Amino acid sequence: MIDINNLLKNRPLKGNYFAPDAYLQGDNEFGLLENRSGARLLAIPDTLLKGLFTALEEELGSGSGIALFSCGRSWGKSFYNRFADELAGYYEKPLAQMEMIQFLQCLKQCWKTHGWGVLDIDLKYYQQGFIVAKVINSAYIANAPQGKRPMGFLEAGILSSFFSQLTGQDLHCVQTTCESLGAESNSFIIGIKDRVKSVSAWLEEGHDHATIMELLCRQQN
Amino acid sequence: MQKDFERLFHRAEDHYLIPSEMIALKKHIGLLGKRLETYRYLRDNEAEIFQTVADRLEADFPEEPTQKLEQCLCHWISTLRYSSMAMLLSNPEYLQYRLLEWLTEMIEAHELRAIETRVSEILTEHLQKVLSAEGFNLLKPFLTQSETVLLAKAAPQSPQLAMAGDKA
Repeated sequence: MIDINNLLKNRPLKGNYFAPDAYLQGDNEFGLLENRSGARLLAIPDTLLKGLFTALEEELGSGSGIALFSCGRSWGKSFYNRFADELAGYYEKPLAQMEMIQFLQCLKQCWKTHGWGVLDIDLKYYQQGFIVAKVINSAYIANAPQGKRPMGFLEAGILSSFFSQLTGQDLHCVQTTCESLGAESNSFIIGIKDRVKSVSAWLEEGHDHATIMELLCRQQN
Repeated sequence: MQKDFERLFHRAEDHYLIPSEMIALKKHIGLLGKRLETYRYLRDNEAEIFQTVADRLEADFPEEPTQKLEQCLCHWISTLRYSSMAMLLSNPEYLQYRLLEWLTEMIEAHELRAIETRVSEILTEHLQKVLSAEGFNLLKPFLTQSETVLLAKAAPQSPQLAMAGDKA
């Protein structure tokens, strides 16, 4: 028989840690933005993002992608640590005991509340060793040069190091579709570097995301 | 926070509230008292309410593992807690962002829709019985909102997920 008193005692019943009204705190007078755990947040104006993209393109040309990817990778590492600490503290259980679905749901909410766009994680190819992430309305890509090449380098860096930390393996991330090229969303394939290395060549040959996923799975088999 | 009051307070600015606004304010204060009464009842009787729901649920799903039923019950204990606060604040967005938006996909992924639907039905029936008609009407929009958001989508065939580790 289920004993409700027991259930109420033993199970934390908390909701969405990243609910925007609870998560974003601030003090207008001091110009401070903080999250609900007291960690400082930084509001980045569109102009600054545009300026960063332009300056990097100007200075490094096509190498700007590598620079942004590295920035994303190092940012993603700290982001994961903070994310994991805050979740474990709020839900009162270590991350290892958290269900994958709850963890991913928190990540998606976190992404949205920070204003980075709407993230979706597709685990359809998980058994083959790939995770597919999709971001709609990316704030970064909206401010990047349009119509040139996939511009989600920063996000690719963040995702690669975030999932590397989560899985304990060194993962890489390649973008296959981009809003800056007129696609409906930005798709990213995350997997072990050796296994995703062919993606860039397939992209250059003009294959679309679905075909690339098929080719990757075939390559695995 | 209190949407009803906010509108009136913002409108006042440099003048006293006009008689019709005073009447509206009195009405909202009266309603707030009733909301608080309903909230207090739900808070003080949470265990009894959900024990009744749990007993009926076990009778309805004798084959299901207890753990699964407990998981669904926990979802609705949370839902009622957040709904009660949303009722007190008269703010559906509170419920949407603090809980529903986040919980929906978890319910879908666990394929718990049949049990969740039954919990929701038993809970609504039971609350209708134990709350005053007025109290139930104050809470009802938030229960409906929860049902609509949590149970509306068809459950996809997603696999049971374990923490990522060695497979990626």
